[in-house]
Amino acid sequence: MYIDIRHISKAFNGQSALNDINFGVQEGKLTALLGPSGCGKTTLLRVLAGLETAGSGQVAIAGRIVDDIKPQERGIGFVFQNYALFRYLNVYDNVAFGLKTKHWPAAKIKARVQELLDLTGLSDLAQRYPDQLSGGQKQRVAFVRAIAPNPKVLFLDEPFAALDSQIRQELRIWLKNLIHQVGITSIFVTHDHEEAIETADEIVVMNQGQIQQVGTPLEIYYQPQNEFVANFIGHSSLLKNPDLNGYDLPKTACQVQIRPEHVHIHKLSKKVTSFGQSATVKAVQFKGLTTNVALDIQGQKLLAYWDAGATPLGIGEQVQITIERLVVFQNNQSQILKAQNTAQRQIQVL
Amino acid sequence: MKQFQSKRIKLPLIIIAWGFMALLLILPIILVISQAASHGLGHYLQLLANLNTLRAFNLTVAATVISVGVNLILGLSAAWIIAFHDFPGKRLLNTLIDLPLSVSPVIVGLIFVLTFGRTGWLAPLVAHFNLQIIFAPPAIFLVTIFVTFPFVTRELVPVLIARGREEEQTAAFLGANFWQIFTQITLPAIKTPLAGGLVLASARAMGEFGAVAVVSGNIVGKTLTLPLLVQSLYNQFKFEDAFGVATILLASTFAIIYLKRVLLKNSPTF
Repeated sequence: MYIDIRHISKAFNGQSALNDINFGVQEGKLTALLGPSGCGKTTLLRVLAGLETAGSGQVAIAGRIVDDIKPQERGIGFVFQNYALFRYLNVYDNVAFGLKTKHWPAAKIKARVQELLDLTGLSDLAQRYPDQLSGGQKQRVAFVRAIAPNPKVLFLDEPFAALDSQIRQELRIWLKNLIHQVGITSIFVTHDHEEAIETADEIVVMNQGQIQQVGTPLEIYYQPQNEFVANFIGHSSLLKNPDLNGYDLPKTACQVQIRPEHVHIHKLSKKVTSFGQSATVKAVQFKGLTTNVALDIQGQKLLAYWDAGATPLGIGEQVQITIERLVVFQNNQSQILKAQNTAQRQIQVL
Repeated sequence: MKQFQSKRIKLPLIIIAWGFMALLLILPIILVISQAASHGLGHYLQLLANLNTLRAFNLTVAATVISVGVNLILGLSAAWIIAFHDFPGKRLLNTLIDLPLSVSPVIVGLIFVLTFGRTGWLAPLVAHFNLQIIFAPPAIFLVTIFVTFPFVTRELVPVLIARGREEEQTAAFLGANFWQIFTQITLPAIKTPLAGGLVLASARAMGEFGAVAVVSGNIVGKTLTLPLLVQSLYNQFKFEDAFGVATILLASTFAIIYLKRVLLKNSPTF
């Protein structure tokens, strides 16, 4: 592992902020630390960078244990949430700063800065000062400045939080592509699950100072290991001990996670009468691309989507549903189940 | 388009502000200058060239330069540690820094007499090293440093806190050493409040009377600063000389304010 984090714990005034954190990051990969605010993700990033000291544990970067090494000697590029651009230096000098301190020859500095500014489309802004830049431009300058001296790893604290949603979308993809192009091993912190899923190669989900799950976006989304991850990532319904047609669910206490895209709603007709599962429409919310539907199933709330172009659903309407796939949580274990009986097949016949 | 504040309010406010300035500042300044000039230019120049005047001027400049220099370093350090670090006794330190502003200067002078004077606590130490502190320039320097200490720190702390230290940390990640970070990142960002604090400190240092009066001993030509010389001349009924010396203080103040303007000409926040 290029970055290796072993048994990191930290407490603030007796309150545990990080509890036995273990994970590794492969060379060239982009990893997201994801969790709600206060979960310890930023603290962990600051510990890795050396801005905070861990109570116990060990951090290794590129095969070197860095616990006793000063932040500036760990080979880190760091991008703060508000970018911390040098206000009194222009874009060119901001990017060149880290090269000048390392006494690169002037010609080499010029070539490197120019190369990076060209790569990121910032060449026209080279003479601008930070307060003359938009949020997205500032972020790009901060990123370029951090990678200019060729650090071993790049850490970004909530890199998109200060941007409005449209630019955020754009920059996620930009950042992902650029990090892969440059090939720098990176960790970024975020509280936004969509951002993590869209941008990262691997996601570390945290809550209350503990790692909940480590996996690829696909694994995190489709195979959540516990209720927290299921709830935190994407939209889904958590049902307690439901009785679902087509599933052989445990009789003892369990929770079932169902994603709305795996719920299929069928309006009642002559052909469709009573296969699958009965449910009542409780609320309908038009969202543009889809329509969000809240269903009542055995007294519990179940979310589903409805095709916006189809015949509208009425509140209180009785429908039949089939569930393609779900995750069962029991005794801290999770299990993925797919519809096994004929209900699913019946639909296809219809 | 209608403005929030109409001219009916704006005009009286301007008149009040200017009237106040005229009465309390401009009029006295004109008085000082006209009194100083009342015995003619020759007398005035003679006064300026007088040995006692020159010595008082030198002593005042020395006290100002020393206290501003010390405050530059101590004030910066204190501001930095208060803004960015937690340590036991931080609140106490924060309160103590304001002390010189709230204690009467005469008391400050007395404190130093009681500390370094012949019967003072540190008298044995002073005697051991054969130092002359009280009734000599060192005491003047010490009290001047003391009364001017809060200005730099008080101007800098809020600015440092508001700005955070992420620019400094970023610079450190980019390989900059302490000196590079301070001169290239911190100093440009705080130079306006720093200069403001230094101007206030130097104005106070030049003009300080009470504390200096207690510790100086009023030895003409040796421990008289400009303000003390003004008072001494005034008490001898040499009004035009007193006002003449006062013009030196006035000119020095303008010089410092002008210097600040020139130094901060390119600063965007000035």
